[in-house]
Amino acid sequence: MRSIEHEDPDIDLVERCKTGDRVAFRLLVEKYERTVFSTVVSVVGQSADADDIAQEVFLKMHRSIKNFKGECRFSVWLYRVTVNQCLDRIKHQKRRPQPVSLDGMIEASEGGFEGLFKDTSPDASEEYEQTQLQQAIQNVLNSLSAEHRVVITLKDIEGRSQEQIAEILKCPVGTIKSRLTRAREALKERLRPFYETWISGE
Amino acid sequence: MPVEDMKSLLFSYVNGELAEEQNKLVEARCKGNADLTKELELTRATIRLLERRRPAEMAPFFWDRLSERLDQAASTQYAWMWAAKRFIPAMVAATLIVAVFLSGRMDITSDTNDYTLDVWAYETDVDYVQDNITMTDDSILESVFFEQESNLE
Repeated sequence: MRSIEHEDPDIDLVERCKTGDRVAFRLLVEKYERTVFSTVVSVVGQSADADDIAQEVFLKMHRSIKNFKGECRFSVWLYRVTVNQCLDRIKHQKRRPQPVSLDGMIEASEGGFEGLFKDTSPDASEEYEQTQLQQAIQNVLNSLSAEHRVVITLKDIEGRSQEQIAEILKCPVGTIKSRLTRAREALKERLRPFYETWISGE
Repeated sequence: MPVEDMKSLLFSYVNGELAEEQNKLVEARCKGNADLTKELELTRATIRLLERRRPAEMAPFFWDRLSERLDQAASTQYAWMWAAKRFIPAMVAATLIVAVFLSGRMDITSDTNDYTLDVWAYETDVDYVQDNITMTDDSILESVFFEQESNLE
């Protein structure tokens, strides 16, 4: 087995955490809370559940860190816990991907769908429009299956490599590649009607 | 390469994940194909859209909320441990007592059954003997009467 002790920047904190050091645990939480929360929101959707799930991830980390043997980097292990926690919640709630209708999309984004494709500068005066846009993007993501949302989140939103995603999801790289292709195609198909509406209105 | 396969390369092309040779192939095919060019534009628009997604904002004081839950979980765990220490030995003892009591009762029941069988066997024997005696008496009486009758004759 490859030793990763010198490669993992978190190994000292992890070892301290294993002995029950609360300060070390807090440092790990503060280091990863935003990334974990962002992943949860992308996969599960912005809701009151997201904060709860993020907390569950760290509680699980606290309970299970003694089982972390260092086969992979701590961050990979934590993202694996995060993704599994999200998938568990989705499965538990029996959420099904809902087809996105143009009307539903307009309603959800309060007309902000027009901004989906046009380039807007991140100006403070456009904050409201940005909020609508973010909601619209999230709606499109939510319409994908959980499996597709996970790979799109990890690859296209968080910018991880296919190898890292394969490590997180414990899948071969080939599986990730094909899953990513299918997920991107599904996303493109969801966006196609909006894109065509936007092109024809331009 | 079929158009569908070309379409599947477009994301990788826009993300700069293809080899130079494949890049040139995609560009050449898109030049002469309006459908593929439109597909490329939609791919670019989709990627732009994902890039424009802002990281979600967390509610403040995450650590405080987490810390509270951690304390709750620890106190629940402590309560279970305390209850386990107190009640598990008592429950084991109670289970043993019940087990001993039940096994004792089973022995008594089996004795009772034996006794019942003995009584039944005894009564059966008595009936059998009585029947035999009766039969014997009857046969004696019959023989006596027969003898008396024959004497009278």
